[in-house]
Amino acid sequence: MSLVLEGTLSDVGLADLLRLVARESRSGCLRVTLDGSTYRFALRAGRVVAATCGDGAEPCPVEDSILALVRHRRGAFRLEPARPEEPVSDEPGVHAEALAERGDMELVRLAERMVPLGGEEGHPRRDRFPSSKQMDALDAHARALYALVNGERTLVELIVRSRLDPLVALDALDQLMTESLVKVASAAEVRRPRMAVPSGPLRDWIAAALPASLLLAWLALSGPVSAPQPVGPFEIRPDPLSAARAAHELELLRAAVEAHRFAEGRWPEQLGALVERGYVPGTALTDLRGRPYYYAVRDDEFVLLAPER
Amino acid sequence: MANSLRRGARVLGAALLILAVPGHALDPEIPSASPAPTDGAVAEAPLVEPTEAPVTPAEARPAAPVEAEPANPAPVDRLAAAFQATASQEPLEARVARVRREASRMGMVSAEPAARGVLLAERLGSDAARARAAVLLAPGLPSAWAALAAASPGFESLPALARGVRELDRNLDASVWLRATATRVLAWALVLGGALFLVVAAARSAPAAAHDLAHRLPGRLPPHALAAILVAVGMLPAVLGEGLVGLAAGAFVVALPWAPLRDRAALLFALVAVAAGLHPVTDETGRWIAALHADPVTVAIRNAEVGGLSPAQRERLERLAGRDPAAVHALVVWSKRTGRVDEAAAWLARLDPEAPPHPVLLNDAANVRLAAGDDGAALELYRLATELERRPEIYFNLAQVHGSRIELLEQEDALATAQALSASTVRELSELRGEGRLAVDLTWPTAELRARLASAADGSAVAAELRRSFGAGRLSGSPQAVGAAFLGVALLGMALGRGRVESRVCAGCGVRRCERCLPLEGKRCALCGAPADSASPLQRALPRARRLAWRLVPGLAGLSTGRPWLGWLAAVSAVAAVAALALRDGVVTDPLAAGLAGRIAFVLASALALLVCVLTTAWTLREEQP
Repeated sequence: MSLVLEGTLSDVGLADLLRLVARESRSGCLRVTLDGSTYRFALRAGRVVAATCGDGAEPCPVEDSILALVRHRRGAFRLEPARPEEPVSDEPGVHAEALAERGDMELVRLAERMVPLGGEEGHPRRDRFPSSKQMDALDAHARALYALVNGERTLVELIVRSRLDPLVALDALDQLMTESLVKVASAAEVRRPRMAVPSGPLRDWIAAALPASLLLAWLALSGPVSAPQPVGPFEIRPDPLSAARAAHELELLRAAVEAHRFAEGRWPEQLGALVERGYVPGTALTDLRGRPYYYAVRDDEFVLLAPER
Repeated sequence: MANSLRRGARVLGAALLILAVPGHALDPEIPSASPAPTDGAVAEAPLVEPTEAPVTPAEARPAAPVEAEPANPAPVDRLAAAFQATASQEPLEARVARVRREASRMGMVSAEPAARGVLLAERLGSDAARARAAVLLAPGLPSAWAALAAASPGFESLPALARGVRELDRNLDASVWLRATATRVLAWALVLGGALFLVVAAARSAPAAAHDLAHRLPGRLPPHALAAILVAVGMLPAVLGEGLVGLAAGAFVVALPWAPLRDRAALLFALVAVAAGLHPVTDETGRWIAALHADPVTVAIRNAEVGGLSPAQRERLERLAGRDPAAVHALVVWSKRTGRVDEAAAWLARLDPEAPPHPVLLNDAANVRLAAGDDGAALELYRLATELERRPEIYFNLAQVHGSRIELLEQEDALATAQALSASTVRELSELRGEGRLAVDLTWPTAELRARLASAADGSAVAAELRRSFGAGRLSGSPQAVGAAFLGVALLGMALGRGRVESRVCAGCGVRRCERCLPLEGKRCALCGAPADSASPLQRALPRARRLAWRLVPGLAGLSTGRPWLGWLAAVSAVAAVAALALRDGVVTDPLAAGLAGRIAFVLASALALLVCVLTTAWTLREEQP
């Protein structure tokens, strides 16, 4: 009695599964699930007699389906024994051992294609930026693959991430190499970068320190920083803006004093009288530093001065 | 034809001006400084050193005394005496009418100290009554009209309000205050608005800049390191002490290389506008702040016109009487108003006969002749003045002389001409004249006095202090430093922009891509096949927030929709609106001239700027789909 065999293609390749079927002359169904699509192969006494693909179970050529799947290491499989009530196909089919051999040959061919590209561990990396004409000359697959090349992904990783057929992806890579847009570095070259570019946290720290370095460089170029000079005790620092503002405030007070003279018939005895009568706000009697303006009535004149600056 | 007539009138006017003066006044002896006004004289505050032109020894010699004339009080004292003549129980209207009559007798149209006194003394009456009185006493005082507008109900206040705002530019003190504050608002708008626009542009360019830098810099820098580099580049000038201007320059460096081509001219213009706000506009602010006391002669001329002249100011005017027509005008007006008609004629004789006569001086000469009882000479001088300048006040004076000579047709013609020139002025003068005669003394053109103040003012030190508020360090030193720094910044931006590759955000996978990392097939992403656009995933996720940001951040809408000039205008007008509102009380103290009118003017300007901002943003987004 045969048991159900279940697993992933990365553990057991499709060619090995086919050899198992041939050796044990199995009958039943082999289901392979890859990227959401399900392939079903009908088995009869060690021969693959029919194949369907997709959810609609559309019939498809046995040999082409096997060759398409044998390249992939991802996906899952389920080998089920035949049920007595299931109808048996009359097709002669293809012997599983023969299919396994063709699958091996396909893998060899694929591996041979990958050799000049550094094999599975090869690291394609960008050689130079493409011109617009070069970009126009590339086909869509080559463009998509070029977008994924970053110098760190291996050849296999690129093929997997591109979701392209491996041979199509390799053709696209050939095209990129012909245009000198991509070249392949060996794993050793990747591990030994030509430039000692720091990576990881160290690189982050350098990037963060760059502005500070620029600042220090600027300070260094701007000359030595001299010690602050002591300010003399009697040095007067002119403040032209305060002086100009004080002049305008004096003009306000002068106008208010004259207005007081007209309305009240006499000069105000003190500037505070202007505030009491609402002629000016209280803040108008002092300058910006809070020092009061000088006011005095002399005979029938008045004197109005700003505090010493 | 008109030019020859005008030239002939000038020569004839100059000759008549000499012939019209009394014989004893033609004596080469300079009339002495009349006895100083005994009361009402205002001592000068020695805040500003006199900056008048040097006086030649001949002009500086002491004036010889003339025949003693009775000393009359100064005009302001006569007005104060008229106001205080009766008990305070008398209605304000009657007291003000008496003052008005006294002012009209002296030819004064605007008695500003009296108007300020009435406005400020609350005990004199209601707000409306005091405001009406102030307008009657000083129709040229903006604060009086603004007070009348504030006291008037509803829409009745609008004419007074409009008149107050209009008088802001005609009153010397108010116009200087207005210009100082307006240029300060403009400087803030240009500098802060420009900086805001550039920072917004830099923020928009930052993702593309970071993406491009990631390709250009060696290794693979993480996003936060790229962001740190961009922020450091943008903030470096500000950190180095260049403040707001440095921030604008740093933002420009980040924005320019990675901005769309259509935005670059606007960015460059914004940077130039920042420089303009920092230097020429702020220089202008400093000049106007320093202008009010920059020229003591001009201050003395203004004081003489409004009725208050100190002995020191009078002496200063006398020393310049031989060569300064405006000083002569002030002395003539002062002498005439204090009852010294012969002295006024003597001052007129000091004028250079070859110099082109000024219409104000011709009107002064006519008023002097009128005061001396020579109506015929006054008539001719008024006519000559009208040949030079068609002002309604001169025709008004002319009409009165014709009326006194019972020349009714000529009087009617003169009045009709005056009304054709300015009916409101004639109506106002007729009201001021009342039952008596009002020979109006023209004021020296405010624009000329303002130009004298501006040319005498050295506002460089004040402007340097004002620039400190923008935080600029070395860039505040000189326009050349700003020009060189901004030129360097522009060159740096252009250098960074060489070889840049435009990047876009894929709407499908939300990742920014360029031709170097993921070619776009047409307008679709090669990986996911979604159409590529420039919207970030956050923007796509929050369309309402994006639309809100376009409306709330001035300039963002223009930059986002490909209308950068409108974006700059929106940013500048938004800052102008805030600055005008914040500075509505003035960058310096208002000497009771602009008053509420100045505040209202800046509030209106703020509203106008806000309206411009809103309309600009709405116009920018007019094609946006909801």
